[in-house]
Amino acid sequence: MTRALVLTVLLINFANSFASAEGLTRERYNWMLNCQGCHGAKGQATAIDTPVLYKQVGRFLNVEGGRKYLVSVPGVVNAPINDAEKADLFTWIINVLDPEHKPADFKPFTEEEMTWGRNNPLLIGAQKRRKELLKLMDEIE
Amino acid sequence: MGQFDKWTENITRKLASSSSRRGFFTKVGKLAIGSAVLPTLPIARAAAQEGKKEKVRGIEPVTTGIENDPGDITACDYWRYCGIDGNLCSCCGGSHNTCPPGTEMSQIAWVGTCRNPSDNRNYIISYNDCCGGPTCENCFCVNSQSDRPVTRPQSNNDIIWCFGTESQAYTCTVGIVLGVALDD
Repeated sequence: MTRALVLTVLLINFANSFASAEGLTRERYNWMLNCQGCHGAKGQATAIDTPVLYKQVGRFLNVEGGRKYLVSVPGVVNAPINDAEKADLFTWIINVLDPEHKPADFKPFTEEEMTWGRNNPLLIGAQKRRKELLKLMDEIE
Repeated sequence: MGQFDKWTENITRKLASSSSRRGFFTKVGKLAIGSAVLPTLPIARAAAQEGKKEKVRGIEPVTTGIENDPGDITACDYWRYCGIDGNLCSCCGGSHNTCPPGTEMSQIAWVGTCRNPSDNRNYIISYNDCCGGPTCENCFCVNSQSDRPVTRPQSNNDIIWCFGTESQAYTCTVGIVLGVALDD
């Protein structure tokens, strides 16, 4: 009985994964291929000290320097997709993973911002900068 | 007795006068070379390979039984395994998308794409390691589609992805379909 149930769930999962893919957006596709391996499907994985994005990433937009920090962290600047698609992906991440913290005057990310991030990568100082920004967030929240 | 000797001698002499020692060796040589060459012919080699494959793995072919999902999940050339580098869980008590009992699936994975031969579409595949059991090398595969150098760790299949699990001991790998890939 248990085996049959497990098999049914597996088959349903399989069918769902094949079916849901039909409506896949470019943003979600880029997320799956470039981000979710380490961040987890919902941006909650912390297995290799990857920061939690789910219900967290939007907070960075509420402090000065937070937006620039997001576009220049290593995982972002090294992602092998072009800047225009990366900007769309970022906007998608905010809207889907953390709409609660999205500022009222939120503007979608732009290609130029992503290019700036690649030209100013935080390859060494990302963790230090993150701590500074988290401290700022704690002060205003 | 004398007559028998004479009879045998006659037969031997007749045989010797009608055949040559070189002829005999030529025939033996041809037979020896023929036996050696035959297995190298393409048909013979393919047949031998087929038999060998089954014997070495000792595992009967297994399919998912799902439409549009062709192939043997215990074989390295099963379409979902195009980027797998490791042991197949389907030969170790698990399946193409489930871990063997007693092991735990890694929370993180590397993600690539593979072409499904039944519909010729690319699918997004998540390669998750199963961790915490003994190493199982029943079916070890090294495929490299979508694989990138370790300088891009998120797309590298040499890494053992046993993170977020109780044990970091690697057992085997599964290939989970996440969805249909988009065209580039």
